[in-house]
Amino acid sequence: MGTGNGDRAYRLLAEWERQGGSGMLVPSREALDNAIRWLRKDADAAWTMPRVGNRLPGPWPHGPAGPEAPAGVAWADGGVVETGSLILLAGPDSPRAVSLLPYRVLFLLPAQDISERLEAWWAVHSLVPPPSAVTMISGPSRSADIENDQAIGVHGPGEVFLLILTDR
Amino acid sequence: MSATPHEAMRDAVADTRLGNAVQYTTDRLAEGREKAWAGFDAPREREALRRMKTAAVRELPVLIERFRERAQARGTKVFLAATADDAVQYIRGVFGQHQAQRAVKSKSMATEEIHLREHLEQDGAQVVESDLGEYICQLAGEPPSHIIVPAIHKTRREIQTLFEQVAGHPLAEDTPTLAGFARRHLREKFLTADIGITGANAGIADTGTLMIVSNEGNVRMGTTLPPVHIAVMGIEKLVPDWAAAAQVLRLLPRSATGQAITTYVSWLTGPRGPGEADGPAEVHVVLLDNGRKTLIGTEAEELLCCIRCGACLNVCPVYRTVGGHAYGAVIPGPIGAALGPRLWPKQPGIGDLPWASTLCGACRDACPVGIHLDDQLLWLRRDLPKDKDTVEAVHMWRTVASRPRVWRAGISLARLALNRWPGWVRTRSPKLVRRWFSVRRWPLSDTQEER
Repeated sequence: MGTGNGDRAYRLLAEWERQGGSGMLVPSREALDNAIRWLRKDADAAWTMPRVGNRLPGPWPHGPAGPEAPAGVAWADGGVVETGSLILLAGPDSPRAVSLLPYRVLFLLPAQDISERLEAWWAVHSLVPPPSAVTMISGPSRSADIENDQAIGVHGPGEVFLLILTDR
Repeated sequence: MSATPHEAMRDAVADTRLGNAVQYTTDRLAEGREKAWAGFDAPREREALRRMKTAAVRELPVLIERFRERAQARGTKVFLAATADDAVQYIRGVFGQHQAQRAVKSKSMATEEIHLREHLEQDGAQVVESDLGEYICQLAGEPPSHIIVPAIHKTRREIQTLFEQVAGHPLAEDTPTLAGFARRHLREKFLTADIGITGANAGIADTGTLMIVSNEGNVRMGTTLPPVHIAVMGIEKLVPDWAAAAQVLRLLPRSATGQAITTYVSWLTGPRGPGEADGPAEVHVVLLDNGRKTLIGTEAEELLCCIRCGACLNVCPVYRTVGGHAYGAVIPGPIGAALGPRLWPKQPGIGDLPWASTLCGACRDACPVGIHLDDQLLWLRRDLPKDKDTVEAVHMWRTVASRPRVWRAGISLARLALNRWPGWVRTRSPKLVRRWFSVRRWPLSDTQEER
């Protein structure tokens, strides 16, 4: 195996899964449909993006909004193989809360945006000037504060699914 | 709370349940750390981090100015607090401006240091700790006992009882139920908070950016939902650039919890940008000096390289035996015992802490920045004023130990006395002898086995 996009995608996914996330590489439409079915485990309007009271007026990129959206869909701007991390840049079309408030979040990541290390990703994707928030995400929210027993989904999402798009 | 560190430590040693809980958790963290460091060029990474941090500490005045300038250019309000009181007054001012009543807070040693929550609560604000462990401690009315795992000393049953009091109805004691309750309850607090308070793991001077790590996501919540974000950080957390912050990030979670990385890492620069739907509209960064600058250029300078990972706590035989509360200081463990007396010498009892060490050096080996913690503690013992008993004891030791015949006679006598009249030795003998043997057995090496 070389160090091409496909190999990186595979190794990133392995690291992501080791940290409690799930996911798949998506070379075909069928795989994408499978993932969407996973997302629709919540029957009601799983595609909604969260909106929080009147505090956050939007605009949200997709669908109707409710304060208790069960799932979110967020595009990742990058991936880091070494730590199994996604990189999300905040911006007008990419609110921070979408990947944070719902219990289940589907992340979409183009394979060509994956780097071996964080520093390598920075070298390709200029962060000068940096956006207001660069968020790295590595698996589900977790805590060991109750007798060292792993708790999942303490504040952030408890289930995270990563689709790496390998054909683009 | 016990009155002095001596009494607190004695009580903590007697508390076997506490000892077991602390040892179980610290073992788990220390094992995790070993695993995370396997396959990782630890000596090289450690040396690189030490070099970077040392250079950063030495140019702190420059980094402070650059951070202030660059952060302000991005709309962040920066306040350099010379003392804890200055920091508290500034933050009170921000609360006043916004007529803020409700705040959510993430775990932060700097806010513990200035007792921020207590001050704000006195003003009538509701300040909720959002880290699960800190939240448990807040409900119990106790300070955190470990800088990474604050509720290390609480059992599941105790947590269940505390949560039931808040919920007003019974809760099952399994982890998903208890964590789920905290998620629902604290989410409401996040959604209605006027202000989010956090610490920071690094401040990047080049761009005025904060780097903050979290596993639960409470830092993200507190910097996404409330309209105002206040970050409090010690000035020694400043680093020159993003690459330097990435160096901190590579070693911090590995040393703290044995993770290659925390679930979330937030790199925050200023308030939300134009057209953004969330993130705070106003950001304040309080850079806390509170004695730190006085250490630059002294032999204690390397203490400013500490990244607050807690690795030294997990391997320390004293911390593992007594837990965090017995230190009676904001930062427990070897780093607290070394840093506390330097930064806050006037705090009652803090001068006793350098003696709460066996000088075994495990802390230095565990430190990701290679701080010579055992040397630092030894130097403090040399420098700090000693009580009369200690001076007398050292004098007596010197007299006896430098005369072989007196030494041997003394040992025979002591052995005889301890065998024949152990009660007398422990309770009625001359004060110096009594104090020594009230906590030690003969021969001396046995004391290491004893808890």
